Amino acid sequence: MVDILGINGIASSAGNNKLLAGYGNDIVNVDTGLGYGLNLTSSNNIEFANFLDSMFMQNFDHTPLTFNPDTNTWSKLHVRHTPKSKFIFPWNEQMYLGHIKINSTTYASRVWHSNFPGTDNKGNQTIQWGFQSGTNGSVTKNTNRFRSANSGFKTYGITVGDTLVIESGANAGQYVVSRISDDQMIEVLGQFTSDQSSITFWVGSNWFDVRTNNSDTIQGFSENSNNLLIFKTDTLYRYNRSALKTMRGPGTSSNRSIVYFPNRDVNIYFHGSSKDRTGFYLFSGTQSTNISRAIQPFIDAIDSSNYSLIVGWAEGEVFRAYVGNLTNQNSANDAYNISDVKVVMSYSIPDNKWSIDPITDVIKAAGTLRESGQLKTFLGNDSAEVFLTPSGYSFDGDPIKFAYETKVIYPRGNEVVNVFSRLKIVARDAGRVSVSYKLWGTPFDVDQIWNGLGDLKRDVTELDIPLRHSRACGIQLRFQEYGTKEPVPTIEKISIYSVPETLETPEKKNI
Amino acid sequence: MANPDEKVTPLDNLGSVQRKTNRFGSEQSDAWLTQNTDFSEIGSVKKKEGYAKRGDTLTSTTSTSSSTSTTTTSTSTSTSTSTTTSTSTS
Repeated sequence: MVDILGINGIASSAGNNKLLAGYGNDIVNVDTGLGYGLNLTSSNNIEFANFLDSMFMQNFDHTPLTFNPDTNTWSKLHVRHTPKSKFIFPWNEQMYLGHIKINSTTYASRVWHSNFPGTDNKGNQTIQWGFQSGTNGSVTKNTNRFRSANSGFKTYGITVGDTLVIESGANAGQYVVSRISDDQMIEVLGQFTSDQSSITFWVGSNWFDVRTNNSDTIQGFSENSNNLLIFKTDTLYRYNRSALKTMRGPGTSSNRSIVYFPNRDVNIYFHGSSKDRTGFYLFSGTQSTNISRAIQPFIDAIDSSNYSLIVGWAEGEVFRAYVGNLTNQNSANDAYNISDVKVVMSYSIPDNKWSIDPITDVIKAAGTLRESGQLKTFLGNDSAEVFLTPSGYSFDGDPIKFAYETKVIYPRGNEVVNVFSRLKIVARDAGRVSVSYKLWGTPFDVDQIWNGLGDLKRDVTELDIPLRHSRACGIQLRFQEYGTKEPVPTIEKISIYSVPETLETPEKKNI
Repeated sequence: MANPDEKVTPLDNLGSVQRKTNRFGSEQSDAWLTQNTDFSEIGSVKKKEGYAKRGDTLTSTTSTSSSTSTTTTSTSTSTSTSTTTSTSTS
């Protein structure tokens, strides 16, 4: 088992499309299977973002790199002197990094951003990060000069007023830059108290902290109404360059669950924590609302160890999220028990409808590529495979498990016992769909197993319910099909025929 | 001759999972469980599409002979291919 660590596609202005995936210690071209020999220093998730016709990568450990789809090469273009980060997001012509690491120190609530794009000495568009770090700083006692060979203080955008941080030693602390002497030397307000060399330092000002590190750390970014959204685990923030505002609603436990739907200007994401807060949320610009109450028993059945691993993606206006295995089997009535593996939860935004969809792969990453005029979505699993979705009528050759279970239908309320005689079902292309039923209130029990009735055959199918097992207050129907072929079945209408067995209530009958 | 007591209960607006209410508080269109269903056609329930593999299973391992430009790629068939890719680590 080898996880796909991240997926992203890029279509350059010149028309070169590339779909890349993080795999092992490298990033690999999915179509050719060839890697780029990056020798990544960690098996962390890789997060990608496209900006300036380049694909940026961060994995919180390896030196940040960018990919040029026209030359098919990785380099440090645009990311020389850049903090490492867990999350990366382009917003309003700047690139943002969240949950950053400088030297060996993690700033889990800090956001660092690039400057606006400018031009390099060859006239090409690029960005600077207003950032410099190193381990070769030196100062002399009773001076205000800080030196670092080969730093590039001027070249990489350090400005007066930036913060210089000396991480350790006699001069450890924060200083304010007062002058940029040249690429190797800056001056600060005040003086250093001791001679010191081999100083671990960083300098810059393109950052802000999203509240403090109170165990609530940055988990990712998105955008909404031209604002940057910053997700921490328990809290959610909206940033517009001049103000950082706390939004009503929780943050996310899984960066990869966050999906933005630009046509509707909404974000959907997962939050996992306490039972009353765990679920999927929709952010509409001012607040987040829990949208998964209709499937709360299934939400409760998600293993909490998967809260940080949930992967979301968009298929048109349907939000889909891989949540792993479901287990919730505490009821004596098996109808209320939930047990399934490799489950995707799907939410249709226009219809406000949920579906619980078992698949055959463990999904680890999702990404998109604009190709042939279409924005295509790709998934990566835990076995070094990448899939296009939606596509075809199988899960890469494995049958799709289709099932539709009605609620319990009480034709005359739950007080009257009926004799159910037959069903009439209108359906299309449903020749492989089998139908079964359960009786509820017989009059005091519920069927623990599904009773088979037969398969759908024609445009209209009539199925007789056996007289020996037809008396109950309610009936529940199940339609299922396992297959790999089209056409796919469509069920349009179900009619249930019944007559009352008695006008007495079950309680009266039992006297 | 039709039984005058016979009742037809139609479900002609097939909906999705709804377990927020108990069984008596639900709408006629609510479902107990839906798996791999597509509701794009209003009133109907349809089987959802699947997914298909893009490219081959990733089996190559890569390593660089130095920290500069040449990348050597070994494939699962143990043949070596020199690619035109390059890596700058400067």
